[in-house]
Amino acid sequence: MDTQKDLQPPKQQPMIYICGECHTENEIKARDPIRCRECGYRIMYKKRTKRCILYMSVCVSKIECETML
Amino acid sequence: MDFSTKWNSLPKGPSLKNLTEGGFGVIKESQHEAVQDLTKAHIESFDQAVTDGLSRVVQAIPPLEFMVKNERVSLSFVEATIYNPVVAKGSICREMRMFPAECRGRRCSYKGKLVADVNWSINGVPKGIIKQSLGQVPIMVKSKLCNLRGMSPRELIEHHEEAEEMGGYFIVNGIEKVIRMLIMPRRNYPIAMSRPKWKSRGQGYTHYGISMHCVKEEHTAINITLHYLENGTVMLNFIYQKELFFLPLGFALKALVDFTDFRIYQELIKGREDNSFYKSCATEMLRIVMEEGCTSRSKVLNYLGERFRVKLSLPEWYTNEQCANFLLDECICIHLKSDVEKFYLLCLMTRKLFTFAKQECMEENPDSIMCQEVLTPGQLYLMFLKERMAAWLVSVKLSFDKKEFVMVQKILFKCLGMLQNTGLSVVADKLNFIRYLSHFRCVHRGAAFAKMRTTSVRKLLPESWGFLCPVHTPDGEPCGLMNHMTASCEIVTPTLPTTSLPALLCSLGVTPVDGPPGQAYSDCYPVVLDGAVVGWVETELAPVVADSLRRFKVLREKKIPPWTEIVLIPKTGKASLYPGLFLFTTPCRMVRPVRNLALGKQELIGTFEQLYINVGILENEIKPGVTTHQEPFPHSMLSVVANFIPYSDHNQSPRNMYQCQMGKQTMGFPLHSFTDRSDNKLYRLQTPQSPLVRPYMYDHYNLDNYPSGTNAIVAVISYTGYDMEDAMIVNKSSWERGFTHGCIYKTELVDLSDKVRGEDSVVFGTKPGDPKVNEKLDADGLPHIGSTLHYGDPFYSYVNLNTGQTFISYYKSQEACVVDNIKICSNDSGSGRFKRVCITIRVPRNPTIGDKFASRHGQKGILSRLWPAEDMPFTESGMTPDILFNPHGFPSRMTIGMLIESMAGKSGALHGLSHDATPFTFSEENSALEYFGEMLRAGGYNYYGTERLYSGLSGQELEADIFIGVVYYQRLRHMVSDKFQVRTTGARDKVTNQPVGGRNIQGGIRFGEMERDALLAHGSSFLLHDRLFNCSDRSVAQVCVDCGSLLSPLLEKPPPYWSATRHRKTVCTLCGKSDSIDSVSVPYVFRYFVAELAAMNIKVKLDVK
Repeated sequence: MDTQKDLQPPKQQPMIYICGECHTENEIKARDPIRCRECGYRIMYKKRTKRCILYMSVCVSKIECETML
Repeated sequence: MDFSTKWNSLPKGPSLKNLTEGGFGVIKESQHEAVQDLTKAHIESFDQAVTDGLSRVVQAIPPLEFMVKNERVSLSFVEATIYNPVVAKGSICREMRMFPAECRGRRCSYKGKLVADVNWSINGVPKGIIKQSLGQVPIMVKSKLCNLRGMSPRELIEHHEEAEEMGGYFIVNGIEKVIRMLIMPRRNYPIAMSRPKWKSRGQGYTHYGISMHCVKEEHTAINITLHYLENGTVMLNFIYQKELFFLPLGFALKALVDFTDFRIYQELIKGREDNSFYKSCATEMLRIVMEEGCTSRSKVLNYLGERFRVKLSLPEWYTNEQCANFLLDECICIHLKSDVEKFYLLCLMTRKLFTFAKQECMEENPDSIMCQEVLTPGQLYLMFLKERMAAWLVSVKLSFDKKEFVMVQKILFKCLGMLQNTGLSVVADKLNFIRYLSHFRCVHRGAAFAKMRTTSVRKLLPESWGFLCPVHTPDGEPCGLMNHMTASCEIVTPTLPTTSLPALLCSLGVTPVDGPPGQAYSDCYPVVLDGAVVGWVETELAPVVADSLRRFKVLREKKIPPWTEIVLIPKTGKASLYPGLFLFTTPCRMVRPVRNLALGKQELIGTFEQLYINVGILENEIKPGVTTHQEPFPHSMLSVVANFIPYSDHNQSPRNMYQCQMGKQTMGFPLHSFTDRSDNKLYRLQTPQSPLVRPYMYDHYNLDNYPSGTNAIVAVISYTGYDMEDAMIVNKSSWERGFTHGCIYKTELVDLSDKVRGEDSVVFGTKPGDPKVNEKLDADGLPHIGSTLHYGDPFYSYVNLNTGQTFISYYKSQEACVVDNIKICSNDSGSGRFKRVCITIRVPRNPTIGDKFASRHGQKGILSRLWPAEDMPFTESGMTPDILFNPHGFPSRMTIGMLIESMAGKSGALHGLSHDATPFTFSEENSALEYFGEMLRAGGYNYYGTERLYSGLSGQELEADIFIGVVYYQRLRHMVSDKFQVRTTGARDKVTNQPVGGRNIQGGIRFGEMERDALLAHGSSFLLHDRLFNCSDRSVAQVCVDCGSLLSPLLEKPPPYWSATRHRKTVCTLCGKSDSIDSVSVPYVFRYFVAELAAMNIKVKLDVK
């Protein structure tokens, strides 16, 4: 657990969403209305995560491999 | 409506061109006609409703007149329009039009604004027109008002739709809803009926009656019935504002026309001049009117108005005559405009009634399709709009000073004059394409008939040939009530004015109603056009007139609409149907195309017309001089779904019925736009295939776009013992290669404004570094896309921005899933905050033991074992089958079609062909076995489709030849993962302390009375005691042996802390001693029961020994 905390800093990145109509990337904060800045469309899609979504053990071993290299 | 060529361009046979020619999946220039035709009845009727129908409705709503402060106020609608769905005013966006995909994705309604022009006047002085918005009404997708209308496949895809989007449904809160078509009595045709119930309507009533479903142009309907009374008089019955009224016929006749009594009498007795009884009855009816002092028309009107005005709620300043005229307009034969026409029609009905009462004509069967038509979605929509608009006027009257307007918001059907007001719309679930399309072809008899004890309504009558599919009806409760239209059946939607028709009829030799025909009336047929008597035609001339009308109809001459129904009911000299020449041009009738042999063209024939037309099926059935028409194809009696069954003519009929149902439960590829949709549940087959053996109708409807099964190598063999009772064995290696793999998409809508009421600052989000979230949610409080969720993982979390409080919701299903996509939804105006999301999760569902499969022949089976490929039997070439099917499934079910399919599939796979499996192509002389047997032999295989197989366990050659071939298998949606229920320990009921029931809360399965009986019969009392007591609500209770009470023993107060005694005694409060207390184990509910009885002042005394 500790190693994992070190890997990911607690600093929050802004969340980015994709417009369902024009596919523009929108940055939306908690208090903003949900609307595309470009076309005004009312459905936003959450972006697929870039994070490793496999189990932590796999992740850790991967990182270990990278460090070995 | 270009029906004449539609069925000529059918494909000759199925082809594998989608596989071999390329270009499959390339977007076409235009949509596929055949698929679009499936929903045509819905869309056209809606189009008709919102254009023509709406303006007619506006005119038909009577102006509302009332007194305010001694001034006559009159309110009426002038015009009403429904607008295309647009985004609310004032919202910022590039595209102002709203599209259905957004409504589905965001779970909102696809609706347009209804605006009406209201005219108001005071004391007859017009005060101008007010434009008033009456609210939002749902819009049918792909109708004239829909923004998708006329789009090409490319444009449709750009708007996130299917390339072959059919429309025909509404979107209400993101759910696609179809208005069901209902069977209605045929409009404007007098039906002779006998109902024993009518006898109880009053003194002298008999069970004879003539009933008529009168429908105006704008689809307002009223039933009128003529009752025959024992004394030979006739009562006219009608319903006004849910109240039943009876009126002696004489009054109605005299109120309608200003004729002399003699002329009325003459009109009544036409054609029955020699019947003295009937003549005396007619005079008697007119005499009753005279006795009331009503000698002239105005006196009758006055008389009627005086008596009816209490019920009509008309303004006081209306005279009695005006009231009576209002009554005649609103209630009696409302489909006719002039009173004279109504008079002639009532006379015709009276004559029919007397003929019927004297058993000289047959009664008509109201359950037969010849006396029926369909309630179309557009019609229902109009009825609803009319009622709500009229109600709106009344609401204006009620709150005239305040001017409060009532909004018409949702479709909540509460229609007057209908038998049912629920169950009018159904969810068009996209489980697979076959199920989806059958929603649009479904015709329901009405919910009222489902409760009827008699089975006569459910019967399959020969009249419905070619209109309703005999195969495609569910078995069980709705059997015969829910029918499906045949593939070629359509519903008439347009209305054309028929004003030129009477003149044309006269030119053909019909005598007008008021003129005397060349022969006696008894030798003439009455001619009735859309429920109006237009004249008389001589018996010899009638067939000629009917024939020339038919020629005009087919050749589209003289402005006769092609959907006209020409019914000449001949005189037979026996008590057959009441003779006459009946013409129908009205909408909502079912029609189907057949080939007119004399003219060599397609003709649309109606349900009533069909009775008197000789239609041959095959060329060799045509008898010259008798057969006038021919079916377009031999399988024209089958519905779209039934048409997809291969070799259905070789199967036992109920198996085809089962397949029609199972085809609709198949996991398939329901749509192409998975990411744009937010359906609650969508099934998806990962690797669907195009069937090798299929009827050409499969190609006609382009079903390769939405396939729903897999070609499997099936060996008919009893091999392992795991295939008893319809179980089947699947090759484990096939499974590992992806055989019928699939998944379920589930979407959950989380709306925080529903969860937290009245708090605006609650949005999705997490507290940074929350240990409960454990990095499994993003900063926005939603799971990562692509992450796997297990039981108990955080699903989403939301935060109150003012207080900083966070709430976490957890994933509450035992099945692991993957987050597929998350849509963040705004509100209609685009100003919504981060509080409404649709989370779509994907649950992988690869086949497991207990999942259900079926071939296309009503042969379903449960997967009982995934058998290792090395242990499967193998052929000489080393091939192992995918599926082992138990041979015992064949003898009793007699699904020969499946055997043929297996051989055809095998030969098709050998030679690289796709075989046509259309029914009625093979026969005794030209047998399928011979055809495919030869083909197999040519491929080097056994003629009968059998092969030598070797045991996979021992390697020995099996003694019997095994039938092995290729069969298209469907995976059904019933899966164990949705159904298994298991419990060891878990939740208990609060009150009874017994285990709870219900699968979703980990409950148990009830061990009920019958199970108890079984254990008693076995004498296994220990097990019984264990189940019902120890594993249920066993509890230890204190009982007083002396007084036998369960309630009186009480535990003493705890001793003070300094006291040395640690033991607490139980004391009976009644006996006041503790040595009589004993503990017994009793069911917990029993203690509860005792307490309840005590509350009712009943003492329970236990006899403890």
